[in-house]
Amino acid sequence: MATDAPRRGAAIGWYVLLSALSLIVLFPVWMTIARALSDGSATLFARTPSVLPYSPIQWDAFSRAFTEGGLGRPLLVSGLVTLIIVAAQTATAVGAAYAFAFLEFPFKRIVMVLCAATLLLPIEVTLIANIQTLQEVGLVSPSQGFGEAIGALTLPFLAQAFGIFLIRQGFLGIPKDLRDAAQLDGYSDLGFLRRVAVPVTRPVIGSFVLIAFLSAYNQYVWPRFSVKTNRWDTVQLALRRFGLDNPDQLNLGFAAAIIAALPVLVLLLVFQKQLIRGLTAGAVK
Amino acid sequence: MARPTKILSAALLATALLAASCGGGDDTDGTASGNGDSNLPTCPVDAFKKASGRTEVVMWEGSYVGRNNAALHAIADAYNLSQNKVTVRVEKQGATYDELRRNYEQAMNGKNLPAIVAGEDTWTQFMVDSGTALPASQCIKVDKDPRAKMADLLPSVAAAYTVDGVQWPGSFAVSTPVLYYNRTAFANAGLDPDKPPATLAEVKAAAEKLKAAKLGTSGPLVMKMDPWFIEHAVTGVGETVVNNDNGRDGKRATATTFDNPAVKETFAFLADMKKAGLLNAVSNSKLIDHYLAVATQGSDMLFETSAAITLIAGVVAGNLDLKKELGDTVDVNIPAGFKVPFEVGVGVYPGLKAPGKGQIGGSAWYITTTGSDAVQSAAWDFLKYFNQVDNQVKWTREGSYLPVRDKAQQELEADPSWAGSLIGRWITTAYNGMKTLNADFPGPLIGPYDVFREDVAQAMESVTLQGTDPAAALKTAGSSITAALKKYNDTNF
Amino acid sequence: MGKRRNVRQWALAYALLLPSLVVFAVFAYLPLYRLVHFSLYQQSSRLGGGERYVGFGAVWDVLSGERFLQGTWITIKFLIFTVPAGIALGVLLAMAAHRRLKGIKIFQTIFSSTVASSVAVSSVVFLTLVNEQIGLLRNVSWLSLKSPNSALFAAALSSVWQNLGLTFVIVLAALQTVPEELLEAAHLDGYGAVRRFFRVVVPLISPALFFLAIVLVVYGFQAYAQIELITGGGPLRSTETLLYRITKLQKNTDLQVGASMSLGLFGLTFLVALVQFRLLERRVTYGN
Repeated sequence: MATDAPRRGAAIGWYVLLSALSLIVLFPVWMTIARALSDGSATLFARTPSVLPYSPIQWDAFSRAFTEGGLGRPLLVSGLVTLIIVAAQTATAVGAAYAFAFLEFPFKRIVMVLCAATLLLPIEVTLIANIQTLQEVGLVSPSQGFGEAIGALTLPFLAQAFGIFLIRQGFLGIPKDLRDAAQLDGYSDLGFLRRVAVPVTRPVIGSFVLIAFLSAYNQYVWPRFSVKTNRWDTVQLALRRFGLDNPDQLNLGFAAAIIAALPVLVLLLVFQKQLIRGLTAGAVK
Repeated sequence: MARPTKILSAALLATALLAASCGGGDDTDGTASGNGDSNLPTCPVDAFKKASGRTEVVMWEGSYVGRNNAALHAIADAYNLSQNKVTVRVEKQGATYDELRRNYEQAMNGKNLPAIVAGEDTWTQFMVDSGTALPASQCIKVDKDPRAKMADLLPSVAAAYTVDGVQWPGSFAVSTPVLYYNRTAFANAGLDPDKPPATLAEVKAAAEKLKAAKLGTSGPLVMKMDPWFIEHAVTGVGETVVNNDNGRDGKRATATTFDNPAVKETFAFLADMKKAGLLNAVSNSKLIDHYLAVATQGSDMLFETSAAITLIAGVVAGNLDLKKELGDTVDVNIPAGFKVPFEVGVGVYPGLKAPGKGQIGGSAWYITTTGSDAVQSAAWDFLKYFNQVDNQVKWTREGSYLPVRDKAQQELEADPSWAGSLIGRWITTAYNGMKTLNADFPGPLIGPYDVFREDVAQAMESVTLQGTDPAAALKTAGSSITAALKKYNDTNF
Repeated sequence: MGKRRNVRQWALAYALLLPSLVVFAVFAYLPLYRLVHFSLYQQSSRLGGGERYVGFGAVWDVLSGERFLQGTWITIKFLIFTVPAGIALGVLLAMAAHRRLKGIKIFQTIFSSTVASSVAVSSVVFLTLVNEQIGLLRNVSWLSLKSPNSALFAAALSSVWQNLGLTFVIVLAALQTVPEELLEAAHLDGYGAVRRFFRVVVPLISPALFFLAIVLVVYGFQAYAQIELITGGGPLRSTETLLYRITKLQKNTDLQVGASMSLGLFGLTFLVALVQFRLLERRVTYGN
């Protein structure tokens, strides 16, 4: 455990262990990079697989993933879908959380339970019924257009219970004094929400935004069945198309996987603390 | 939070259960209707000519790639230019027949079906039962246009797609399995490259020779565990796979007939070959491994569809840009410019007793009933155009689909540059194999053919990949398929 | 507070809640109702054929049928492969990285980095290792995608890797809450490192471990992309988890079976949730 500063010998031992573990964790990533740098058919026809890229090394897989693999379009679709979902989820969650935390209204308890119970109905469970519904209203069809596809990809995720309760928890942490002071200052409910509650709970809301981003961007199952034409593939779906579909473009597929992970990796590096707080919100509180 | 949530969600579930079970829904009286032709839809021939402007015909397909696809689009474009009343638009609605079928059935809900769908050979019974198809024979009957009747349509093709005297699809993309083999390896093993094995027993003998010569080290015969190959062998000797005369005696099939000798013999072939190390069995879910096995000379004989002829001929000649050929949906992973270092031959598909026979494979084009009269008649007009000999010649020459009209094959053979080419010779071999098909016994009609295929593939895989006893594997598949048949017949209300 | 103010507050509350409630009604409760409905009615294969009541017996037939039970069993196997290993590796990494060393932040970042990979990404990543044609480990028999006995394991391994970042982060956060004085006291009492770990550390971080177990179980139920991208459900359906099966049952005539199985999946999720609630209650006791 994090105890006394270890002696030099012990420290070296730990560095060796930690480095070894790092290598193991990163090894699959290295393999992906190595395969992205190898010609697709060289990978396919290699008699014994190698941990190194097959020569001649091809550096252009990352750009070809865009030019030949058409990765740009799915990235845009994913970006737009993620943006809509995150913005909507944050807005709806802040509103609902505020109502649950500070307002009194009839049937409050029942409404809260109804919201919480949706956690028992993840999209995987409701998948086939939801797809059916969206088919009937024409959002999911082989001839779906841009608007229909974006609608199908985002509508079920415009609100989400986890965020509501996470932010409500944050609101409940606001000291009573602060509330009373705000009331004395003549803040309306919405004024209090905007000027006090949201700014004070910014860390919580920030964590939620990151989590929402992560889950919206990384989704697979719902887009897989709500998008019926390649034209509106998200990045994650595009990976499937790359997959092994096009063998002399194997390297592009692996490059695409790296590219797909980059936005989240950047977020992770920049907002490490907030992200970790969000991820651990349920575990350690 | 815990308790109330628990109780409430339980209550919710109960309410939902109650509501759903009482809730009406448009229940039907449940009388099953047969497929007698008294109430077949009528064909509104030429209705589009009275419509104002151009009528749009959307065609869905899920199986044409590379040159096949290009040929189809070229013919559709030429049709669009040839007149000013109809526009045909071909859409790829899936990379596989399964995906196409899913989209088709889902479109049935929303009632937004295409005007034409290119369904797999296995769809026939489903299309008959679905109530979505306008039978071509209804149009042929009333249309005075001489192009409507194809007197030289191969009887085996017509028979395969005719149910109770009604021919359902109007156009075809026909293929048949063939044997691709490595002529160089045959010669090296002391086999005659000009005499490919004609029966499964001869395949085994050839495999033994190849193995003795240390050729085809992964197993001299590579075979995808595709039930199509089983069905061909069984149909070829006049045996059934389902009851009620393969579902063709006016009643739908209700059970499998896997205890007949032909089915057993075919499965025994798989088991024996595997046991002797002569079979390189590839899972049916794989798309490319069997081609690869031949390319890398791990195997020297391959059962595959004749539709791959153009492709393989191109690889052999080393002059195909495969990437362009295959588009982004199919997957043969031989790099561009790759030339196989051996000679390839094509033989008629070996049967249990004799080569050839079997049943019609590929796809067939159906006109749907949900469009307006103008759309239905326009779709029929396009099929008539497509069926003309010159377009059929194009369809074969540019793709690998086999001619379905004798006149088309004659015209092709009259052109020495085609008939002498590798593709021409191979297509002719496959065509001759197909001509041996028995029009009086055109293969099974199965409603849930998709389930049938899936279960038989499982049986094949468990025999060849897991070493399961063929009898046990067949029993499992048989009971599952029989249940599916029952369910299918029950749900066709 | 006057009555008018009350009414205004009610209106405001419902206005704020309305968007969420609409979404929940349409995409959580309506589908629950529809699942029940679809499970009780068989849809016709004929155009405009409508539906026919088949009742709870038909639902039961599905839920006691081989396909559902087999899918459930494969799902459970997937959980057995992913949950304990995921937790153990998370603890291992966290124990290794929870110490005062120069540059420890770098290692912590590396260990948490797989958080950035989605299921689809990690599946593609693992193709480089386990794919039967190009994988580095394609000849390792216990990872082989060619055998029904090992294919699920290969798919599970990619999930374990993908979840490493999350498990590491959560265990590390829990370890950081363990008071050092407590460990020192145990040390003075003559507890060795192993005993210290099992007697002191594990009980203190057990809520986090339980939470992790729940999260991983839920992820396991939701496993889809790794199956589709790595094994395609095969060989011989040996990797067709429950969800994977359900997604293949979307054709009209399959809806009755698909909806019944979805309700079965709902039941299983519900069980997990019950355990989770129990846990939360217990943790409250801990806290006091």
